[in-house]
Amino acid sequence: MTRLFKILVTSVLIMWISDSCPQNGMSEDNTVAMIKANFLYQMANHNNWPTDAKKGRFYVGVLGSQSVYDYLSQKYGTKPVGSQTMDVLNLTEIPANQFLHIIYIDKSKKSDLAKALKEYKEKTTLIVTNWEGALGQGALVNFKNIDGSVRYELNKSAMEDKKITPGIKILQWAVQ
Amino acid sequence: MGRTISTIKIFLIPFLLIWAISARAQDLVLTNAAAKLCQEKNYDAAKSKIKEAMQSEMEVNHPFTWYVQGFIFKEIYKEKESLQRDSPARTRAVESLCKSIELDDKKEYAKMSRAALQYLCNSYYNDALLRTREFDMTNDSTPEFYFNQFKLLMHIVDPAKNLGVYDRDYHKAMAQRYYTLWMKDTEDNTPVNKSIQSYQFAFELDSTDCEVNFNLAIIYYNQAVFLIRKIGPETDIFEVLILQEKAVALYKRAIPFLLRCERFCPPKKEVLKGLMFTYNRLGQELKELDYKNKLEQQINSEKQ
Repeated sequence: MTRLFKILVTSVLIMWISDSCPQNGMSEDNTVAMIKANFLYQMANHNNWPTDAKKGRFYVGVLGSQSVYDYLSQKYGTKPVGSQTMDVLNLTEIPANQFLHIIYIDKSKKSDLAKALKEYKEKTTLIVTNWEGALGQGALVNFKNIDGSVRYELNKSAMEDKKITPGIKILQWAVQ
Repeated sequence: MGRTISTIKIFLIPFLLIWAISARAQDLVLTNAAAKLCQEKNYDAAKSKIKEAMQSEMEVNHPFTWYVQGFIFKEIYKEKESLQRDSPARTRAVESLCKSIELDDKKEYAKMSRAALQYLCNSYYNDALLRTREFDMTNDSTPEFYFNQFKLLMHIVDPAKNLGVYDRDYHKAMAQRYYTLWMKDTEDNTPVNKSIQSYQFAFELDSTDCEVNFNLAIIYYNQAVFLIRKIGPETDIFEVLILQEKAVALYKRAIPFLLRCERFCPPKKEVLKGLMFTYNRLGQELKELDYKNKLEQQINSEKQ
């Protein structure tokens, strides 16, 4: 009886071991947001702002995308931009009286572009968006999906009008 | 994950031994004495006695003598060495039972020998699966040794038996372990490549296996994520684009396996979530929305 019990316990134990493997889990990291955050950081570093915008902090505002804000602030938030310290702001609306070097407006906040254009008309703010046709509506840089990859297009002359000089690398990898 | 083989059937085997002693091989005095000692669970004495039988010219070439020796060592393995990785008793038992089958021209003992071998065969399979839960990259061939032993013996026990299911489950178990090792250090791609290789092998054996399809999708998907995670402040924009291209290719590889799960497997939220995520990462918003709706429907139907 003891032997029977021992073997039964062993068999059950072995079957339990073999069936108790954890199911592999899918990472919930939003890699699209990660890429966008990196591109925003590349924009900050490789484009050139006029001298008067190189004082104090380097402000980047994110409107309408919590995940882009999270990745940008966590991974790049403490990194310097030239001699400036980056400050990433999570926006719920276009802020009045807050200068931003870069503002990223997500598609979910598309309707705020007009307000942003008005607010930053005279300012050296790089407006970045992510929807089709945004460059024609006044954005300076627009993220695009090309065969599954995040890429960006830009309006070089409009950037120069704003006294923001696009960096060589930024121009090199922009899509037409 | 593969199920190990139940060892319950072994309870029948001692009765076969009793029947064999009473019915056959009346002249094998030493062998019969060893068998009786074995019945009485006096294994050390049984071992000595069968050793004597093996030295007897009259008994050494008899298949029953080899069967009894095999049986004694099998019992020793069960009683004393079942947790011993390389049990000498098990090896001796296998050798002896195989020899008995070889000598048994009249097939008088073959059935009993095969029954005893079946037990040992199962033990090798169980050992192979247990080893798949503990190996690392320095000893990852260990489970294969036990699995090959299992296959070899199974071929003797039942040559007609299709081992496809065992092969599939073994490779699934190997793949799972490689995956676990990769998760400990995602910088090293050797384990994940081996995991994919093992799952692909299992897939070739059974392309409808839901676990294989889902896990292959997860591996490709997670490989893509881990590539993008490498991107940081120091990453050159050109490298970002290269990494992204690789990640996109991996996401695309995950999709057919997820679609197979959706098509052939019982409804599962993880599959719909996987498709929703993958299409999102590829920027295919309409398909993402479609799977988001399906996922919501699935969640709602589960609530009702």
